[in-house]
Amino acid sequence: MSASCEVYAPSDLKTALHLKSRYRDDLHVVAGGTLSVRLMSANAIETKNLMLLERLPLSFIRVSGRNVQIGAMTRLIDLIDNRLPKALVLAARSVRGLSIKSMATVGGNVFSPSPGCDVATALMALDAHLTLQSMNRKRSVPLEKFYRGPLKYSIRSNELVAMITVRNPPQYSTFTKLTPLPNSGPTIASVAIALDVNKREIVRRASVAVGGITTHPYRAKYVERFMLNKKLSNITLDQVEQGLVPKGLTIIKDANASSEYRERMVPVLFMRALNSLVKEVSRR
Amino acid sequence: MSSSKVNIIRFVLNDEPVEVLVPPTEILLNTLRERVNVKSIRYGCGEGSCGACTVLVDGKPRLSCLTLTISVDGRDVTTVEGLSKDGELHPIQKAFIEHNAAQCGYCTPGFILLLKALLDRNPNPSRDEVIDSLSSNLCRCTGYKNILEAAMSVVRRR
Ligand SMILES: Cc1cc2nc3c(=O)[nH]c(=O)nc-3n(C[C@@H](O)[C@@H](O)[C@H](O)COP(=O)(O)OP(=O)(O)OC[C@H]3O[C@@H](n4cnc5c(N)ncnc54)[C@H](O)[C@@H]3O)c2cc1C
Ligand code: FES
Ligand code: FES
Repeated sequence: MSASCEVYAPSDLKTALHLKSRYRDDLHVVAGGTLSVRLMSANAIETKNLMLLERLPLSFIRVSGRNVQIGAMTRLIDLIDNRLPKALVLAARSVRGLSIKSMATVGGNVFSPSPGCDVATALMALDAHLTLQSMNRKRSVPLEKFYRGPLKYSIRSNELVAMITVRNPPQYSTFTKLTPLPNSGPTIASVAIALDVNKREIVRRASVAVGGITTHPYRAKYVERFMLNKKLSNITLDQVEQGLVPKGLTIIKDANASSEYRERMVPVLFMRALNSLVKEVSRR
Repeated sequence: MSSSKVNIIRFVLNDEPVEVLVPPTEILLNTLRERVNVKSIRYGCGEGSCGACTVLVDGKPRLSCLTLTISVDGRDVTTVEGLSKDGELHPIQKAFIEHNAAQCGYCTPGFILLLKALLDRNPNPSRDEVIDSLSSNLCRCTGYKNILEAAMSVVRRR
């Protein structure tokens, strides 16, 4: 820690952005703290100056028709809300225990590497956009494009993530994850699917995100393209398996699972997610 | 500018005002144990995995090993000492005793506070919701069965 570490806890966004523009990378941002404080305590990051985001008015969920705006400081527990797309609710529910759910924020989750990016995986399948804000500018970046490589993000040193937007999400969505614990727990692999079907159950829009196996979630584009114009219940694993984990990805490993196991579990999770959507669509 | 450099931190601990002078990156776990001498807060893992350090901040569960002390400036902090009123134990504490839900007791304050936070949020949780909510806390002695029974007995009495 630097001897002259300044601490700020602004209560308005304008002040927060002013500080970010003044200090740039010399200002360490703390949201819920579940990752950032852990790294600080382990001396894994040098703390020059600190800005706590928790007093900012960025904890909100606004639902207007089929559009959803979520403030970056919204806690994961607040996503367990029936007005939101099901994939998002299931992802938030799957996060381990009440304490982490009550502390961790949505904004922090999009930065968090695997295995801590369940909500980001669901948001990616829902084609979410991040609103990145600086003193003079606001821009919208698709979450998918936000990841530029392991721990490399498309954010400038004077910007903060202010809000996450999901516009006109597909009608059906789900999220499924594998964890070593019987209930919510650390992620080994996860899959989120969002889709629209017509009356004959033909897929008209599909997005598939895979989480927990690479540093950040990714979209399985081949599978998405394959699913288009197919009858949902006719899609089988052998048709899509090779597109779920494209060749050349660096798969992570940790104490909970090897890379090989993670990779093998993705098709299993995909089929679980798909089958739950087939059932849901047939019940409508 | 509404922001300010924070050194002296004032908060309310179990209805009593507290004032501490802390370095910016000090975690609440260390402040409570070492500066305020509250020893019911336990250090288990230091990285959010065991829940032994759980406190309530403005009624919400917080892992004090992942909470900067500067972030509780002006807030209400509750530890298990703050639950009993006029010498009477809180119903959750009584249920833990009735169901032998503590052995060494290292994890017990964390479980009790987490359960309080859950019941304040949802007075009538299902068994699965209780299991899911408590899954952030570890107990190395009881095998969880008695903790769950104690929790469900409080839910049934409501
Ligand atoms: C025991 C434990 C269990 C966990 N289990 C799960 C799980 O099951 N599933 C899961 O998905 N995750 C899990 N996590 C990971 C958890 O850290 C993240 O999910 C959490 O969302 C991170 O959010 P935070 O608010 O705590 O972020 P912080 O730790 O405060 O911040 C993380 C990073 O994001 C940056 N940042 C945060 N917000 C902004 C913003 N608005 N603008 C710019 N930068 C910002 C910070 O500077 C920091 O670099 C777990 C973590 C722990 C400790
Ligand atoms: S010591 Fe805080 S969660 Fe283990
Ligand atoms: S009673 Fe000993 S750890 Fe829980």
